[in-house]
Amino acid sequence: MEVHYRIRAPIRLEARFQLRGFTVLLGESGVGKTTLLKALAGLLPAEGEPFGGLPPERRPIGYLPKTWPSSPI
Amino acid sequence: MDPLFWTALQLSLKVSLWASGFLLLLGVPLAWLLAFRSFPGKPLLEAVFLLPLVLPPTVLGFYLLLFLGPEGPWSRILGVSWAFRLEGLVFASVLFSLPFALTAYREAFLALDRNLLEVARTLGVSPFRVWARVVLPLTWPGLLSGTLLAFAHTLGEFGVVLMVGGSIPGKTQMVSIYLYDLVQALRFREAAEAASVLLVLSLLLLALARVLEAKGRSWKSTTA
Repeated sequence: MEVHYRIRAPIRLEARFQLRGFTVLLGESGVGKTTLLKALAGLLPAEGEPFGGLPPERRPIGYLPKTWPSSPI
Repeated sequence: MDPLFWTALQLSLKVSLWASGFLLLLGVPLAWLLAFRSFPGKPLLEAVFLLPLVLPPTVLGFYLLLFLGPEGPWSRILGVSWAFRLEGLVFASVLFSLPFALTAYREAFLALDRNLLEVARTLGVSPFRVWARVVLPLTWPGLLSGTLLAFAHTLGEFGVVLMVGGSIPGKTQMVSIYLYDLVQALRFREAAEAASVLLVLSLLLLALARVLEAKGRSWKSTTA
């Protein structure tokens, strides 16, 4: 799947890459990994494909933040 | 006990109940806005809402009296003056207790783990249902405790309600002013009775607010 996203805030970034199976996003602290994931999930204002313009609840994307215990409470 | 005491206490409770109801309706969305949104002029707006904390109550009461009085802008809009009436007392109490309610509500919202809200959205829940199923279940002890605090604070207000209400016995004389009038008349025995009722009532309300706050904290620790 082709992913292409353009984000203005909180940092400016544009990303274009292919998703194939299990994909890992690597990068230094502060380059925008979380920002990109949040934009993909629809949690930040951003434009791009796929799912551009859809609210988070209508995107087939789950999001498990790193601060959250991964087991249910 | 003096029947006027019960009338005054009843009025105080009525005004406090109305004011806390309005504060809940008004303060919750406002606190949400202040907790999570930033906009130009926000510090100034926050200062305006917190102003009743530091302003002498008589100053606030004076401006309210001008605002609500027969010549004031509010009367011109409504066609009737709210000064020296129950409506005016409630209006003044909402403004006077707003900082207490607002601060408590905002703290309750700031203690929320925002990841919870975002994860709920990605799990397919609309913003409205996030409110009903995530925000309210986690924050209601804080919201209720803030409302109780505002209720207790309104019960004890003096300067503002004296200015706006004018202490008309049986009509706008709230219990705190009733007590003051008793002392002025050197009726210390009745004053002592009235004061003890207020003391116990305020203590119970505050204790209840603390219990709720502790509840909110213990829940937070299980989700953080």
